[in-house]
Amino acid sequence: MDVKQRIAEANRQAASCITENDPYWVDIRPAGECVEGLEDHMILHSGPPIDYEDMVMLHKRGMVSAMLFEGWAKDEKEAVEIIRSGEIKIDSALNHNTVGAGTGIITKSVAMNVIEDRRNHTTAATFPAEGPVFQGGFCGWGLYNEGIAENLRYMREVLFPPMREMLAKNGGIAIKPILAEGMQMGDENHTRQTAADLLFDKQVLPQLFELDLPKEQIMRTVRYIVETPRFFHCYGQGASRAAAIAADGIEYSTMVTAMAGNGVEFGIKIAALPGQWFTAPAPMMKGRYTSTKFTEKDQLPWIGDSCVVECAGMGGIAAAASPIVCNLRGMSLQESIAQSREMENICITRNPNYVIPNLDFDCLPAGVDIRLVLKTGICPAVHGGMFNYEGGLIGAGMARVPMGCFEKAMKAFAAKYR
Amino acid sequence: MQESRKNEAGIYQEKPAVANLGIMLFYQALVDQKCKCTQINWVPEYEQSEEMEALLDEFL
Repeated sequence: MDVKQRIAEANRQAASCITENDPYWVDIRPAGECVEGLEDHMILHSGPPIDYEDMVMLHKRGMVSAMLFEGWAKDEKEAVEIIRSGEIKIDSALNHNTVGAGTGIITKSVAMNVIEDRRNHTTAATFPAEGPVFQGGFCGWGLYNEGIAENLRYMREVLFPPMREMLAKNGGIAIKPILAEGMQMGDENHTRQTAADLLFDKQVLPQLFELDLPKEQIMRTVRYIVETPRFFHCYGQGASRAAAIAADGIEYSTMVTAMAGNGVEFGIKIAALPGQWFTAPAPMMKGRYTSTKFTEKDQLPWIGDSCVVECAGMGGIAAAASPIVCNLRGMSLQESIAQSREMENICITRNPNYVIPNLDFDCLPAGVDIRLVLKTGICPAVHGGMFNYEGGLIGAGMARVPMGCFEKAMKAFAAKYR
Repeated sequence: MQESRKNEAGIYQEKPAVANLGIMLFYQALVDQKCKCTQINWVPEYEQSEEMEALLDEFL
């Protein structure tokens, strides 16, 4: 086989990790027990690796918040001193089997959803939704106060035990059927999970009510599930991450396995070079703000790992499935369809699980190939939330992954396989 | 000459049928004006740098 044949075969194998995956939500455990390589006194963050001094304010605040949450520092001043001393290890969440939504701050004690991919034999951990909007925001949005910290502890100690008992009893909740059916009901599974949330509730709530636990205890967990917007988002991310991990390390594969930003740089990883990041300046998003008082000057360049779902052929790749999301940016139905059709030009395969009515029942494309991006000049479209410089979510929209990431990846690939 | 002018006038008397190449905004504007229009998704061929072109020749 020549090198081009090897790449084609490797990409078929890598893309099958996405299209043939079989993810289940199986447990909720402390990050220290389910995130591989997460050590004591270590903090993970979203996006490609970055030094503390170069971080945007949201990440810096996240670092301090993590120090306080874990009890590694008594106040902010001491937390910053300890971080600057180098005693704390800092790493990208996507260098581990997890994903950092928003700021993506993860330390050993936070509770994480555990996603087991039974086809790929991989496990990923994802940060659970932090509940209904309260007290002005969430840890994942780059905010922190004692109320937010208390909520994280409350989730871990009060809300999650019934879920764990349910999962132990039923053996896990299959994620793929929810993603697939939700996709036919108007979700693209990045910005919108309206259908997936309902499908999830339909499965989970009866099982929670069957537990031999006090009604009030069950109801606290039920209210958390049904009152949290986009509750299912973290499960789609976990399923996507478990598939990407399976593809990481496949020699000769030019498939993208990670796309993420840290507010300064945006980075990608590819299957054949799993230890390397290829970065360019983080892009701004175009979309709709939650208030007319916000403009682009309030917006932080891309931060967060949530476009793991685009790596698995959802979100911006799946725009045709969710014209309602695209319409938030003023796009028509035809433009939503055109966005997915455009993505077909840069993807390795089609996902037979995601059959989309708006595509006349064609399957969505899946598996971005860096060579096709460079050949066509079409950069992957990624959906997501807009973050404010000061913290907090201020809108939703879309960006394009910078071409510079793909050029650097191609050069590194050539250096390895030439 | 007279025949040609007559044909030109005919263009304006008949409803146009348009095939729009590329930019979706034009397609949508015509559809909004009840004009029959077919969208053809097209963009100019992307020109890579010489270095990238050489790498793609080798690996794609």
